[in-house]
Amino acid sequence: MRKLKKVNKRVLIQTVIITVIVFIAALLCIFPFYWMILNAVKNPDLINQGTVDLVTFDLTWESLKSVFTYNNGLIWKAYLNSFIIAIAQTLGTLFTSSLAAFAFAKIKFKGSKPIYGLFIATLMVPGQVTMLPLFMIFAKIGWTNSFLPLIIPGVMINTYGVFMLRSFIVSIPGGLLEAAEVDGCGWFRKYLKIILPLIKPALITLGLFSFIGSWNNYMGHLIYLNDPELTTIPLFIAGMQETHMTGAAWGRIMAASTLSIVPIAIIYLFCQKYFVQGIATTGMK
Amino acid sequence: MRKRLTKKAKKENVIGYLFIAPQLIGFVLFVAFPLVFSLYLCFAQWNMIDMPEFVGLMNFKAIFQDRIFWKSIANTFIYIAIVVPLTLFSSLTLAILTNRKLPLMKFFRAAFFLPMVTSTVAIAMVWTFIYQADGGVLNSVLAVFGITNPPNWLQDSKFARLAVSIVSIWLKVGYYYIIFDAGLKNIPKELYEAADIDGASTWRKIIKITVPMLSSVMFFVTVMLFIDVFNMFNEVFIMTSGGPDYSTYTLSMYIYFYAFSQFDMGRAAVASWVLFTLVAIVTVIQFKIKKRLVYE
Amino acid sequence: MKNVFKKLCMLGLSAVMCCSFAACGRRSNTDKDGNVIVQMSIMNSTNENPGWLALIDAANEVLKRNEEKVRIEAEIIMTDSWDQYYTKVTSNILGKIGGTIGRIAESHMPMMVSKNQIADLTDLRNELVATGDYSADAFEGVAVKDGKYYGLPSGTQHMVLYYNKTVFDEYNKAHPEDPVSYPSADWNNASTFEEIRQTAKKLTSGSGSGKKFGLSAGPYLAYAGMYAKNSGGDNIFNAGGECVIASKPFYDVYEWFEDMLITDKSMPSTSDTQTLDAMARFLGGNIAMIIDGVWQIHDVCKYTGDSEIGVAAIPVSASGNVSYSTTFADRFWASRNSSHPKEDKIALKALMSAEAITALSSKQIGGFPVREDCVDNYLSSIQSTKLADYVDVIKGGMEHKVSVPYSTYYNIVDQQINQKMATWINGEMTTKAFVDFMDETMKKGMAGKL
Repeated sequence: MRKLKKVNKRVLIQTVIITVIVFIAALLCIFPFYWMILNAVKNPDLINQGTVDLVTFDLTWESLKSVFTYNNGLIWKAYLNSFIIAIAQTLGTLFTSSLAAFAFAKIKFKGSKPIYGLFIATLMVPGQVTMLPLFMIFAKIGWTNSFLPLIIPGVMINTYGVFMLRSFIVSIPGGLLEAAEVDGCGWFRKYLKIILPLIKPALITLGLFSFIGSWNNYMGHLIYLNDPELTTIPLFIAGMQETHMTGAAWGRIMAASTLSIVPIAIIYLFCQKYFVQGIATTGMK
Repeated sequence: MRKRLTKKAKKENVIGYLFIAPQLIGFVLFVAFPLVFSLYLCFAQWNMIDMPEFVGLMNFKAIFQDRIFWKSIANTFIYIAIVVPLTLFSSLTLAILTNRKLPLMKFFRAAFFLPMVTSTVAIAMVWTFIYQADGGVLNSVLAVFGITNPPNWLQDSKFARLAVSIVSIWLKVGYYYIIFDAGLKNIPKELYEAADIDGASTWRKIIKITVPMLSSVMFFVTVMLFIDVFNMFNEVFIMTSGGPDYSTYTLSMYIYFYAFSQFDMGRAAVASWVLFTLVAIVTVIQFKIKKRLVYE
Repeated sequence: MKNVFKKLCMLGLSAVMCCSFAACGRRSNTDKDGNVIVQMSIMNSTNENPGWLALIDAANEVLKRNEEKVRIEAEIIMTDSWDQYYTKVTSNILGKIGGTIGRIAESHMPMMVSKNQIADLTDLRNELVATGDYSADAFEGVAVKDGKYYGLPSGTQHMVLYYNKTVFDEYNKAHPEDPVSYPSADWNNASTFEEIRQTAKKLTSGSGSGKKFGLSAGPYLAYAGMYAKNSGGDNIFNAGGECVIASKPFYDVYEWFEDMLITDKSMPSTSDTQTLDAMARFLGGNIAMIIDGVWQIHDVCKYTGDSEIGVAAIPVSASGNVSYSTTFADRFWASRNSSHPKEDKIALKALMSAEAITALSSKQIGGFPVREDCVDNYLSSIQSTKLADYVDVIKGGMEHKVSVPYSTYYNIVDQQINQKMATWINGEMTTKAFVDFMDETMKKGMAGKL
């Protein structure tokens, strides 16, 4: 009995120490967000001053308001454009990569293995290598300064998506498909009626990755989008850096950064489970 | 019977190709062709309006005598030396620490994941702000701890690389934490119970059970981390633009600069193939090592 | 079969979607009256946009009056760096979209010329110069290659020393025993480096973000030639075209910078101006003197509040030296890849008209007009601002101009020197070593080894 108590005490102390360590780590992870939000809502004049207070109560909506009035409400356009690009790319990529993943997993066709091998090998190719020639091609066919170069390549080739979805589809028992065939289902029907419902969690995960990747894609937007009408959230924020940086300008950037994270944060809160699942499975494969 | 089968097989062939068609076309248009094209560009000079001009090895000569090119490669390896082990260590440590019942677990997990879902542009701005020499929160906190002469993080060539690395690690830890966490949950409980019976210490259990059982995951994480660091761009571009004195410059920045600021496509193509080759070499070496080390 | 059909439908649908997206990116080339729309790329700047838009409006009026079937439309490029502007403009030229004409900094002109991106404007230049209204000098320089002209000057900007008189006066009130005097406004008898240094030292006070600095000036390559000439040296290159950065005048200039940046700390370094940049600090009264361009006149007048501002000549090494001022002449260009090259030239000609230039210069944007008959208008527009007393000083700078020797390799040389600058300011390298590094980098650039 006494011994048990001792062990319990030791476990308790251990738990307390570990909690403290983990708590500090968590604070470090959160701090930049706290700082961003604080600077977005605090009086911009305070930013100009020398002293830095970790907590302030001199709060104002000024910076947030100024983001919305910046360049005649450009932020709404940026939001809209970012959404269009991200959603178009996400839906497209889910469709094409699930189709291909299904074919690689369940349809026996000549050359399926070597082609799949080629696909997987491209996982290794850094984006920078193809970025250059792609830019030239898109410039030649007049696609620059439109959303197309940001949507189409993402839709048409997503080796990671094919790889991930295939691993899910492979584990679906063949019996289901055979039964459907007896009922006279064609391949596309099988894909629609059987495969898609079964791999829903995987699709959500892939969709999330694709959406976030597109939402945060800075370099691509930087290269292809020139027209202010086509500005997106990353370009909007980066464009707020001014030649004359003042406290107000910093406050506004912090406010814009905060606002840019809102959609992702909401999506993330609702889909945290899928998110974690998706990442966890990539590690297992 | 046999005839029908071949007919079916034929149909499957057609269907199979139809199904992979979008991705296959994409592969040819957006990966295979650009790869071949950029290989050609390595030997050409092109202003993108007139026809490309074949220049032999001129681009290679130019790049190999460029001090900045070598510096950016060296930087990439320094980043690897800092970011890979530290990310590995911190995400693994956090995963092991939280692999037990702790209060506030939901909060902890949410906190760890947050950095990875945020926009790098937004967060790099915030870090720039945090790192400011005067009026930056980091140096103000350091001053409280009695460090009166804190470094000028992003303007000092001795510290800028470290500062950028910290942001990079901070961005990545959450992602790899999830992977390690899942890996830990897959380790059979019996192994630990058996060790408990033998009276093994916690430390011993980690060394003898956890780490070997996670070796395959660790291997995967290392490969991913290497590739991540090779492609580092956003945080550097926003925070330091590669400075001071090119101390934070990466190969990705070098490619971007020559491609989209100088429009010297030949030189950028060579640099991008160097990057590709480096990634390929590192990956192959790692797979060779995996065969020897990883416990399956 | 039905499935395949369904799929074809879906593919078709997505193809239609793609096309509609593609259509979004393109604008029609003509307006409803059948005028050809020529888009003009200008860099976004809250303060300068009104000026450039006024220029375009005036040019459109001219086009209308001359019954030309051409109209100009502004394409504002959302960036504040010329590097990024150049990137965007190039991708527009290559993709045959957006602006087919535009304005670019002098520094990027050689690159545009050497990459063959812009059209030959020699005939237009000859036509303009033949009228005798334009200063032919302004067309020379970076935009000329093999006797052909690829750019038209949009105006000439130069450097002056702005000082906050109120700060000087307050100091003198507090320290009557040791007063400071305003910097000299005489370009033939400018204040010396030493005088300015001592003044700056006295006007420096405080610490942290609230610190007040005496002088802000950029030790950048673009201005190095000006300072060197003011110390009796050459503008980067000597008469024989050799790079002479590693010489006494340059060492002297950079030692002067070292004295203020590192020894006295009376000049803000890049890290001091991270939160609040130097011009913003000057406008807020935190910096007493600043060496900057006449393109800042607009901001200086608008944002300095109750402070009285003065303008002076650039300091020199020893009294008696003539003071020089770095000048920049940004250029208009036309795309070589344009689908309506003739209309582009008609548009450019309208932009160079007296009306258009007057519209621009009455907003104090674009610098000194290149049409002589517009100069007075520019100067009188300054007369109506708080810098009215300094019109002669501002004008004087134009009479002592020194242009920056831009070239195709200049940008990369400049970038490498700027990168090195932090190590010098941090004290990791001596001033002499830094100047030698500049020299060496410039020579490498000339030899094409960068």
